[in-house]
Amino acid sequence: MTDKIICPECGAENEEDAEFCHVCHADLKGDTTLEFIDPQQTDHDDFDLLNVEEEDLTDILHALKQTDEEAILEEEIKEDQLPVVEPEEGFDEGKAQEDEGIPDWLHRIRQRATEEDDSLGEITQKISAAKESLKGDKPEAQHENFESWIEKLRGPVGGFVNKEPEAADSDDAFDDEDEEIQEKEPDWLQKIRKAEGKEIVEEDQETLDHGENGLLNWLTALEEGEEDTAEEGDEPDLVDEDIESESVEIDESAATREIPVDEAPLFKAIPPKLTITKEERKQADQLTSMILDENAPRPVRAIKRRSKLGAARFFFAILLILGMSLSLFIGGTTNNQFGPIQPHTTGFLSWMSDLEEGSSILLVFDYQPAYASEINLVATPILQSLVSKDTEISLISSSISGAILQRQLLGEIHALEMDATHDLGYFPIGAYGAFGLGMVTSANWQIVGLPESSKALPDSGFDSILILSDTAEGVRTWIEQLTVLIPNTPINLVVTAQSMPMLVPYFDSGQITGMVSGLNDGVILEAELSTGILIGNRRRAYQVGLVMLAAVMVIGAINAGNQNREEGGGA
Amino acid sequence: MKKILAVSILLLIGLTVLAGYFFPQALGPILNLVIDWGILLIGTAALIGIGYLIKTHISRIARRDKQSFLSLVLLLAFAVTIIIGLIFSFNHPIFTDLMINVQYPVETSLLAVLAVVLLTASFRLISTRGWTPMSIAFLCSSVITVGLDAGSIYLGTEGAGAEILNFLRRLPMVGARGILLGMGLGGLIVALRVLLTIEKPYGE
Amino acid sequence: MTFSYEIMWIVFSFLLTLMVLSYLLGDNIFFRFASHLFIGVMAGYVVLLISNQILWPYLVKPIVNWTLPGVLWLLIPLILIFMLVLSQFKRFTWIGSLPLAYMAGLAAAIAVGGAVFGTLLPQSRAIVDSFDPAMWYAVPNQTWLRILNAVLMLVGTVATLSYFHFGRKRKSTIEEEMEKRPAILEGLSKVGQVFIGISLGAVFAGVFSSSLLALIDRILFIGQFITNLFRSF
Repeated sequence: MTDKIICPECGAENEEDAEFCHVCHADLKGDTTLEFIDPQQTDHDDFDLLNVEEEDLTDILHALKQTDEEAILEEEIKEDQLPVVEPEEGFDEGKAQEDEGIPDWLHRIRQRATEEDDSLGEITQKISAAKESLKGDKPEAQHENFESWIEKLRGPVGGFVNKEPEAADSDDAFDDEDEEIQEKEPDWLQKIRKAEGKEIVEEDQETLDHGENGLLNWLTALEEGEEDTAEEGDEPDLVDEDIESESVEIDESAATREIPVDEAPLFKAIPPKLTITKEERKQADQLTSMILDENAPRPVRAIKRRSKLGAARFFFAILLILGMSLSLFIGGTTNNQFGPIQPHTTGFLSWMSDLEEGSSILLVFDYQPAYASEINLVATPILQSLVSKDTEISLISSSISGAILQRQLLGEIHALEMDATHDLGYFPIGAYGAFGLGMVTSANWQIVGLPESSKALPDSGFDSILILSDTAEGVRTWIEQLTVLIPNTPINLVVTAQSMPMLVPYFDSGQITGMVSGLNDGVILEAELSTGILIGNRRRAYQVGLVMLAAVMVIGAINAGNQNREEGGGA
Repeated sequence: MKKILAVSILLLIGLTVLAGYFFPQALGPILNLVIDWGILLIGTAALIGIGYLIKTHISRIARRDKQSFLSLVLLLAFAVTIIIGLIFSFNHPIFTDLMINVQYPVETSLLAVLAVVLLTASFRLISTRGWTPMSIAFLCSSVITVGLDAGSIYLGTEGAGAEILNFLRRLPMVGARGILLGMGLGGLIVALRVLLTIEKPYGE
Repeated sequence: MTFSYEIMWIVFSFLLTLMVLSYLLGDNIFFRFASHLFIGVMAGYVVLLISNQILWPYLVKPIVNWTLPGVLWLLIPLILIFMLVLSQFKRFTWIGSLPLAYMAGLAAAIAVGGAVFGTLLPQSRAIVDSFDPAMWYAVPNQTWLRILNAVLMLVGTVATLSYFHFGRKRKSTIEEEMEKRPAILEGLSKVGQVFIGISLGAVFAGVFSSSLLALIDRILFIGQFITNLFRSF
């Protein structure tokens, strides 16, 4: 493998011992340098990757695609050809020696390039591929391949550019060829073309004007562009404004121009042209911003805020757990004042007392294990009472864990051993279960030959429905369906404190007969049904927690008011 | 063709179910069958979803992601549950114990963590939301409800004091009814848009 | 045997509880371990649940208990299931629209029926019923209270409803839309905000109550575990 020298003016490859470029005759032993970037300086705003006047993109791109070995070789050549590069102040000399004079950012890119196939971006990959294709044993065949490859890359735009203006005017001709080419193209290329096709066509004439100029001319043209790419909003926020303004400002319109890469000595017949699309330029920009991002200052403020929140959470956790532990394990008196019993609780108690022996009840399990501790406290005395009345219990679950929870709850009160307990199965959606149940109950005929339904209902239907649920939404779906389809069956609810406020309107409208929820109703039920004490000290700890919430809310509001006043005074 | 077929199925099922509300006795058995088929489809969809979950975690392990060992834990837990469920049975006490002793502590502890998070959030309620009519109403309502539940606000069980307490208890119902009606109307609009094929959640 | 079996589960639950509660100190590996374990177990459970409670009774059992009419009735769901599974392959994605249309039609119709007959009509009727003079005079000395209650209910519900925007938001922001609304509606929506705030405040207190009970349950469990541990030594 022979090493080549890239001309800093036109990007053409020259033999390693060449003194002048064979294409543009530029001095190859001139002052083209790669400036070192101080890694310590990168933390400051004046870090400017692209604002290196003596460094052109060809060298950067060439450097990017090199392996470490090649880089060392090239450095050796440069040592002969180029003046010694002085590192800037503060540069770590030891590191500089270690990297053999390679800038820090370049070293990182190379390292990444060796690890990730696609890290260099498509531009450099294409250039690499082009170079590789030149190094083979069959230059002519590869030349053809490269031509077709580059034509493919250029696609309809390239094809269109090379056409006569008359042909270009014909939309049909263009469309046909476009479709034909698109069929052969990879998806990503088609998408890019589709997204930018219109823009490309509009700018073709302009592209032609740039003609056979070198890469450097193209870059100069880009720098002269009016629009700043930063305006697109594609740039990451972390890129400093100064950097943006000093960086190579790429004109939006120029983004789809053709970049003629002069490969004259090898491609005399058709000089291959490389079209860099908007998407590809974005990738290059992303690469740049990624390098900048590596050295950009981190958003320390957000971390501070998070840690502040974490500290507050930890403080409140300690406060709450300590307060409740003391009230649970040390003891004291319990305040059992509730105020007047709510009408829905009274309604539930009336239903319980009016329930006849041997009634058939549908028990709907619609809660998750998280709420089992709350529901079970209230439901246990109720179910004990139902069992004592020899009721026929049918079970349905509409929550994932319903089947497990019903076994746990009914197992505790030995209701599972009863012959009068039937499992009607699981319904993944409560509304479906309620609707299906309503339909089975209402139907007065049967379809012949149907498989035996799992919904084996009691002959005379249900006398009552009791829904155990943790969410208002879950209960709502059951109530909505059952009150329409089985209107005369009383519905009662055992719910959590969180769902109660949203379900009171259903009691007010007469759609449900009664409802009990939360610890307070549990205490009332314990007293009314004279069952064993389950609640005990929980009520005291519960009160402590609630008072803490009220206090914290009020203190928080006062604190916010004071802060507002201070800010107002300060302003 | 496939669009017409999809719309036909949607309309056929939708209109039949709607008719069921008016003629439950006549359409009951058919609709029961329709519901059973729907449940089967939902079950299958859930299994497919779990399949994707497992696939994601297998690929995480294959890629050797940063914390692929957590994916390994997940897959092991999945496999062990399936194996125990198959060796014993779904209703076997050992399987029930496994489920209860994993689900119950994890879910209850998560809810317990929520208590602390809510307490922290309530401290910052006004400083975050500002003094708006809604935030003031929210604050007052929360404090009063909590006070009533804790027994801190107590004005007796009869007479004027009890009436005031009853009024305070019933006040949230006014907004709750409005919210329920709003949700009902919103749900109705969305469902009608689906039934009128203005929206196509099943794809084009 | 039973003793060690029970102890094993108690220790297991205790460890899981501590792992999840460790989240109070910040996100950590123990919490993530417990959550991944939980998801894995739940996923396995759901597979068994669906197999046991849905696929077996609705699909497999009728095929096993072979009767021609019974199996014929299963042809339609079998085809739909086949389509749903097939649609997961990239080439056959389009085929999934049929079972999805089935599910969408079913869900939409049930939602319409439930919303209209189960919520909108009964709740509206309840507001109207509260203006029934027979109800006002039902309890002596509470007539004015009941009238006040009915008026409050009506105003509150209308105000809350006026806060909702049922139109589809497109380019303009909610604030811009609100500016376009009639002044009376705008005023009502401000009142509605207060009622919504009151309701959500009560819901918030309820959510806290529920989570507090869960915390109490866990504290009790940990306390009992530690007490029993010390007793056993």
